[in-house]
Amino acid sequence: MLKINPVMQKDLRITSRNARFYWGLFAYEAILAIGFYVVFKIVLGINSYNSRYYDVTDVYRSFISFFPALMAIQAGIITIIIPVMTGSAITDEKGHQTFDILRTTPLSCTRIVTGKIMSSVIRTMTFVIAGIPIMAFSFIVGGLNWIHLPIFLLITIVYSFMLGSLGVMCSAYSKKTTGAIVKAYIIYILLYVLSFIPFGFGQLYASKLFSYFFLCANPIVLYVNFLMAIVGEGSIFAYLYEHQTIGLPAVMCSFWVTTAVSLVIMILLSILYIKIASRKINPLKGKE
Amino acid sequence: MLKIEHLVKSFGAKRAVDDISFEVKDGSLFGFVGPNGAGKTTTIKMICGLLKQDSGTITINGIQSGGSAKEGAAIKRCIGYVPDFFGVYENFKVSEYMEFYGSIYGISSADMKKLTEDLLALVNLTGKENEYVDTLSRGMKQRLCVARALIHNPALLVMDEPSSGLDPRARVEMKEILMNLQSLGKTIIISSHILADIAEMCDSVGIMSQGKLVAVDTIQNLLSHGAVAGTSVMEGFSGTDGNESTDNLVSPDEAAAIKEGIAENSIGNPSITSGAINQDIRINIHIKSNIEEAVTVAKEFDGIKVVSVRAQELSVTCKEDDEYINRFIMEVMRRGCILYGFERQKVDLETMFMELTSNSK
Repeated sequence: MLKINPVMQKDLRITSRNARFYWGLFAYEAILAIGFYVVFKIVLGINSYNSRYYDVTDVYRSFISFFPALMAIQAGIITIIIPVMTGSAITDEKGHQTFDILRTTPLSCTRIVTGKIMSSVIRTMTFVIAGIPIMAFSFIVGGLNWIHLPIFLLITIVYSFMLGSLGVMCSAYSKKTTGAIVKAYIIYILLYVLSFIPFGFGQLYASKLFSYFFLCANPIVLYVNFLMAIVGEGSIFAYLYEHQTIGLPAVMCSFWVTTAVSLVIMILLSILYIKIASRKINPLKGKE
Repeated sequence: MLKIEHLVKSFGAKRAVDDISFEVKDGSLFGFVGPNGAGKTTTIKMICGLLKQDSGTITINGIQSGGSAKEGAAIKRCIGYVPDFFGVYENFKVSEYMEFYGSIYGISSADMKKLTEDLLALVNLTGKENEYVDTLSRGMKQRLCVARALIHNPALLVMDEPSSGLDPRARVEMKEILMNLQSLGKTIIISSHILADIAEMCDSVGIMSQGKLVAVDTIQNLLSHGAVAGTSVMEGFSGTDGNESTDNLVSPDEAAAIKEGIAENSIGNPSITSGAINQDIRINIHIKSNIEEAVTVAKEFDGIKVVSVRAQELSVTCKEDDEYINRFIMEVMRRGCILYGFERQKVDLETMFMELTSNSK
């Protein structure tokens, strides 16, 4: 029988009793609803302006953009809130003087870290799943494939797991929660920006495979790829392939392959962050 | 149960624990005392696996620490740790708190209910299962921490200042719990600043100062030996300038002569346990002149042990026998030493502690 991680269970129990969690959920839904309303108004505005030139099918097609818009809003919120959730994972335990007690138990440091990460992923997915009714408006007008929602959920789970493991790693290396959050944001920015650099050099030095994997590691590229697939524009890598800016076989630039590679890279990054964090908090291995 | 050999730990240039060795036998209650910064908490943390030693070995229940992960987990199952500060999870009930730690040790929910009841009864917290942990008083939290440490029935309980910050009643309750646990066969190590409690409860004591273990023995032996590797001779200049701080010192030559005399008289090894005469009072003799002769007289009396020598004060321990003490004083005076007073004080752990740790500031 699967053993539930005690740290995860404890964190979820404590969080569920805190009013802040429910206020956060309310704020999340409110932002999503406002975002939906703004996109709705924009789409309606464009269509009424262009009503002389487009027929009704074009109008319905434009409604498909709700889903990517809501997806982008959720990805943005998750990117901001997960470091805040996980930044206090280890620093709070130290602050409450419970960390040492935890480390004297047979619970391994890896299990402590994964328990913290899993509790943040579950809380995040609670928010995302609670937003599905709002996202469901996008499905009313049709044009969306049923597979898009589970793909979105899978991408979000893996992305949340990577962000969570990064946040816990930063928490393990920080004395204060604020410091952990700042470190996590800095690493994000580096990840988003630096992953484009090899692509730029790739054009000069023809190291296409190197730049391909770096682009796949970028969560923005992953979501844009998915977005383009939803609106029927192929994928970002297919676009680059067509314009001969990336000299790889066509199959490697397909949506499914690039998405799979991106998810695997994120999982590998998560494992790396977990290992680093576990080693740091292990009193017999990490530096004091 | 616990064996520590040549343990060393440094933080940068500061040596927090400097080559200490001691043993704690099964079922005993060992007290760890020392001034702030002596290295007690560092030592305790190394025992519990919260700090890695620079060198030396720690063996618990026959398993040496620093081995494989499996051995590490086995050691952790032997230890119950109670830190000096009770950490609280907010919005957590007492029963949930116990259940959380029970689940870590693989105890099922069904067994936890009965175990929680029994442990809470042991620490006098019956009926508190549904109360939130952060609403308990400090004393209750500390007792809950003890209950939590006993969940997995550890052989060794390590407690860092368990009575710290407790009111007198809570201290008495904690003491009773510890004595109770000892009677159940638990081996307990406690560090504390409350020497009276240590003297009352503990079978043996280790006194640390500036990272070193200056004394370790049973309470009885420590008190009966009196001078334990710490016989002090205050060197400096004899009083000529009227300065009080130097008036009380002896010259280097006088110190060398006195030390030689004391070396034959005192016990240099902190672990000696045999051959002790029951000596339970201390006499401070204020001598105006000829203190070397007074030390010689002390050597000649079998029941007298020299503790410390200053320029105008000789401290000795001896058995509480008025006639014997009288004979000693009379002999000191007969040999030409001019006394201007003496006082007697009971040798207890506090006076031993103050004497042995007098160099740490």
